Amino acid sequence: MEEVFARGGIAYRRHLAMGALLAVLLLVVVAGTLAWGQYQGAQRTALGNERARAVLAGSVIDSYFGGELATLRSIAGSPPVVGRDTASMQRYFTRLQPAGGHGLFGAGLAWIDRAGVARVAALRGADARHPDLSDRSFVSQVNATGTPFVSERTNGWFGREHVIVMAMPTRDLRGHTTGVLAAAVRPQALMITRGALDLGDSGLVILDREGRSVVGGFTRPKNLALVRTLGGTGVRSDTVGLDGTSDHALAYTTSAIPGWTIVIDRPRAVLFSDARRGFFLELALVAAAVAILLFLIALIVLHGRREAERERTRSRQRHELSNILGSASLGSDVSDGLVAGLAEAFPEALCIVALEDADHHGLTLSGSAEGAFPSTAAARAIVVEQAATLAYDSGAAIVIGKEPGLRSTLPGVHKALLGAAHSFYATPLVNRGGSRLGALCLLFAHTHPLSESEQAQVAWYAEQAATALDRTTAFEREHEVAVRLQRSLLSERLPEVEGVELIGRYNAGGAGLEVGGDWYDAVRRSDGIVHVTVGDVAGHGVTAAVLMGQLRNAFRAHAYEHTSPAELLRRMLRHVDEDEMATALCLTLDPYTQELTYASAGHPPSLLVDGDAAVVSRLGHALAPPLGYVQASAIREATVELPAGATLVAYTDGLVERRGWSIDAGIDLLASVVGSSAALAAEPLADRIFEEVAPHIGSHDDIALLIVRLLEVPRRMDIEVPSDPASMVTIRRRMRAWLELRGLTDDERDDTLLAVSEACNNAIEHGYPLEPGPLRVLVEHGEGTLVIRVEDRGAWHPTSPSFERGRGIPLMRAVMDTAEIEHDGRGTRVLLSRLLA
Amino acid sequence: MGELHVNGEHVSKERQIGTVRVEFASKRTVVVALIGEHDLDSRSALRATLAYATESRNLLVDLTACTFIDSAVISLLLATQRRLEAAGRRAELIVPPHPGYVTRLFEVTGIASVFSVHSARSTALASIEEFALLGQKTA
Repeated sequence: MEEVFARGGIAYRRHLAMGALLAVLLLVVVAGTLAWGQYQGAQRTALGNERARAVLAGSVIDSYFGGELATLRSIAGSPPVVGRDTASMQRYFTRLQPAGGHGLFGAGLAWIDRAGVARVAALRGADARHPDLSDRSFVSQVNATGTPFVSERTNGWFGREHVIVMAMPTRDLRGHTTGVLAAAVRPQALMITRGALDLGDSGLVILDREGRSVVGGFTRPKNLALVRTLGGTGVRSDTVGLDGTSDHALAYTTSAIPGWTIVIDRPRAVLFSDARRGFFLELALVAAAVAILLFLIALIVLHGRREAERERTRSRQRHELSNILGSASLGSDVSDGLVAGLAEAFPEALCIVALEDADHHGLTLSGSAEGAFPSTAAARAIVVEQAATLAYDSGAAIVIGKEPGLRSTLPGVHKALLGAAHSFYATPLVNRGGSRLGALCLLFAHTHPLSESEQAQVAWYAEQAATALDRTTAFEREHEVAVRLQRSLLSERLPEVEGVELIGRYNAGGAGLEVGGDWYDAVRRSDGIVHVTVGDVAGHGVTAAVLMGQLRNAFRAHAYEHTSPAELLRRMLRHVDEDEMATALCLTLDPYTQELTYASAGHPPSLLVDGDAAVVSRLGHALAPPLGYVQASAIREATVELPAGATLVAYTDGLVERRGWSIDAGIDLLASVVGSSAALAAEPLADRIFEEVAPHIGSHDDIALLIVRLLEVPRRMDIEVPSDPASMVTIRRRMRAWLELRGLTDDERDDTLLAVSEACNNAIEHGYPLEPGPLRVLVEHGEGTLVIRVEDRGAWHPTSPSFERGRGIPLMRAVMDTAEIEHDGRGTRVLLSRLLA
Repeated sequence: MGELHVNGEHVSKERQIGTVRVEFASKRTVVVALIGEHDLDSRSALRATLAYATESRNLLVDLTACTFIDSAVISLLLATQRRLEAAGRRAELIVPPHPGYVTRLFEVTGIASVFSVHSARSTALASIEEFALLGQKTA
């Protein structure tokens, strides 16, 4: 399960993205290197081409001059020239250079004799019938070497126009040099080379031997120093140009015939523009590829991040569900939590959770969330009946991704949901033991085949829910036992006591889930004394309920033996083991004396409200540590007076203990509510306490509340005691107090005590001479009368008359108005009455 | 509504049983003071005490601090008186000077007419000593 979640993990995606980025970087480096290499190659090729062009330009010039010189040589070998016949020469030359037509040489033809005088000339130009021979360097050159010559530039010839002169020695038949045949061409004629090289307007520079640009009007380039270094054929890729600016590339060669230097000088930018264009194109291609790759990686990373975010959400949802299910106590809590979890994960889905019936006969809808499409209860019932049951019966998950499949597999469900459901997922809830506990269904209003991770998530939900259900089932079973146990112990009604309102309330903890160990109980003894207890066993569940039962049994068992609440607590203490703990309070109320005696073991103090003044006091004495910690000898008791109208409120800590509050704050709150409700009867007071105190405390703990309210001094005193002479002191003490509270005079009181004593003596001596039996004393205070009835259930045993005996009856008669003694098979009754003042 | 008392044991309140103080006032007279309540329960003990104390003396029963006696005790006192008178001695009573249970009882029962009743210990002692001396002289 975890691997499925881990596969989409963010770390994995990050590594993938890093790898992809590295690959892209590598690609950029390789492609860049290749492109650069190609660029370098293209530059080299461009340079080579440039050099070839320069060489080509050189050979074009050479072949031009070669051709011109050959023509000139053939003219020099013609008969007029060999024969030095100037007139024929003139005609011949004129024919070669017709005026107005295209001649052989652009600027004319002339023969100059050895003396340097132009003897024949056919020049093209209006005002120059003779060439200007002021610059006769070509003549001297030819004469000196006897070989043909091509000049750089020649000043004159046509005055100011510079031309290039080709000169050839002329010889006679004997081979003697006769002069120089010179022909001139205009530099423009050389422009043909440009056309041949297809270089456009730029780049080609033809420098004559003096370094002047032949075509550019024989100007000297700015960078003459460079010109001097150019010899032979070569190429320079990065240099200063002829115009003196940098970043030029030069290709150069020296022509053979005129000895000129042909230079192709172009800015590198121009020369390498193609290479550069190719390079940039390649770079652009790489950049485009990288951009595409980066875009793809970003997409993947974003997708991964979204997936990781989704996974985080799922993880949080899982965590939340774990918490909810972990604290679930009831099966309904589990299905509620599961539905909430599913609804959060699939907000658009109709989520249905169905759990097995208690009798394992089928599934019952336990929770649902409507999602995108509302559904009727009947429709949900059909989903449970058909879809959930299908998964439950098959024991495996069912996935239906598309509407036709849903329609054919679950036609009833499809119809019930009015065709709104298009896809479906269901899985049974199976616990670790393999038992099926229920099923969950998800229905989507669109085609939604659950992804692998979604299915894993739902399966995980189902597994968690099944585990939680196992626990809640066990818990519910235990809870039921504990509830039954506790209710059986608490359901008994409290005894009715004349003149006393005595009620107990039990409020199960907030969620009503766990049974607490809180208890209350009250016993009215036959001697009229009322024992009350309130307590709280630490812990919950059956264990606590069992100990609570033991403590209450101990209380009840010993309540009839002891009148001391401290002694009762000591007896209860015996049932608490060292590892157990309980707080307990025992109260003993004598309604005839209005005395309240109490003993507390770790219990929060009870509140006592004086009925008239509404003064609330805490029963703060006689406190001891809780049972389980306290030594029997440390249990103490204290007595307070509980006058008519006074109310005692005893409770367990659930009523006053709030997290974050001191317990005193809770008790003060209770005291203020109780103090302002002093006039209320016990039942409405209990209501008010639960309305006004419990919500402020908000405890989930159980609350036991017991209220004792002394309404009035009882009109009659009705007690049954063992016929023990030793108990007479106590009976008289209590009766004295009661008679005083009833407002009898001292004499009436004393007479009554005497008469009752005598009647009791009578029963003790005659009714139960051998062993004690029950003795009932009933004193009724009516309007101006006092009626006394003392009963025993013994047979009448006449004793031997003696001087010491037999004075009781006369004494009774003396202090009472009437005194009768009846005895029959059921016992003896002494009936006394007296009119009161 | 103050606390009446705080204690560990309930006995002191529950069992305000009567006590007896025996004082041999002279060779001829013993004073037996009944304190608290005396009834059927304490009769036997009281009887034994009286028998022992009155072996050779006149008896003065001091009821000043007595809060309750019943017919059983009265009968015992009468029987004791009868026994002493038969032996030529006397049994007399001291009752509280102020009205209370004992005076009321005596009033109702008429016991005052059977016993010589004194309201002060000094006069009672004087009376009974005088009788004793007289008796000795006559003897």
